[in-house]
Amino acid sequence: MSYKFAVSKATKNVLTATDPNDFIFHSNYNTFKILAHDTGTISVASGFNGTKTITHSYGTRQGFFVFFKYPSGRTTYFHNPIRIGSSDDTLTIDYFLNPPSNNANTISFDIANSGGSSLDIKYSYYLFEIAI
Amino acid sequence: MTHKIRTSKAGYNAITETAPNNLTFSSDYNTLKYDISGYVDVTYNKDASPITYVTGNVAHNLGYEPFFYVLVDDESSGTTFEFTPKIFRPLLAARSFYAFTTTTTLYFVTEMLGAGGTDNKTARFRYFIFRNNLGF
Repeated sequence: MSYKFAVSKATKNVLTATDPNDFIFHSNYNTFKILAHDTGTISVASGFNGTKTITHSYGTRQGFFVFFKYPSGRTTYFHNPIRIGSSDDTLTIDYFLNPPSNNANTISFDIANSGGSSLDIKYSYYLFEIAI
Repeated sequence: MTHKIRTSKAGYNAITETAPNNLTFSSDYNTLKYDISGYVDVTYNKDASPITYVTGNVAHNLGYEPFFYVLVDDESSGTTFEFTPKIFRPLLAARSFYAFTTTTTLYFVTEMLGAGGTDNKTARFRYFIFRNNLGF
C-alpha cells in the first residue's frame, strides 16, 4: 500500500489540489537535492592565462552549478562576464574554449588575469543528485 | 538519536533505499528554496557604438549573495528564453546578456557594440532567486 505526504500552500486544500505549484511539498514529485556544497578561494597571478581547478572529491560525476565572487563583490555563475567598467575587467573566465566543467572529482575552468597584481576569486559550488 | 524524514518513489523502499534519486525527499539533503522570481525588461540599442551597457535590476535585500539563475529572451520574441550568459561575438560587433548579484540586488546587463546606428530592442530577463546562501 502506498501513502502520500503533501503540504499545500496557504488557502490551498492539500486533499483536493492537483496543481504541483499549489504544494510546498508533495511526495509524488522529486525534489532537487543538493549532495554537496562548499566554498573556497583561488589566487590568480598577474598575467596568468590558463586552467584552474576546484577539487571537490565527490567521486562521481554529478550535475553542478558553480558561482564565482569577483574582487569587486559582484557574484555570478559559470562564465557570466562581470564588466561595466569594473576593475574586474582584468579577471575573466573564458566562455568559448573551456567554460566551467565537472568530472568525478573536480570542476575546471579557464581564467585570465590581465591586471598588474595577483587577484583572488572566490567560488561556491553545488553538486546535485542527477548524474551526468 | 537522529530521526529522518524520507519519501521514496513508487516501487522503492523509503527505509532501505540509499540512492538519492530514488527518494523524492530525504532530510539528509538540502534543497533549493524559492525566494522570488519574475521578469525584468531592459531596452537597449543593438547597434550602439562605442560599447554601451544598459542594465536593469531587482532588489532581493537578503543581506548575502543568494543562489540564482537568469534566462533571457534577447529581443522579446515571446517564444525563446536562453540561459544567461548569452554572448555573441560577430565580426566587428559584440552583444552580450548576463547577470550578477550583490548582497542586495540582482543586476541584468545588456552589453552592445555595433556600427553606431540605432536599432532599439527590449530584452526580457526571467529570474529565479533562492533563499540558499552561497556562503561567501
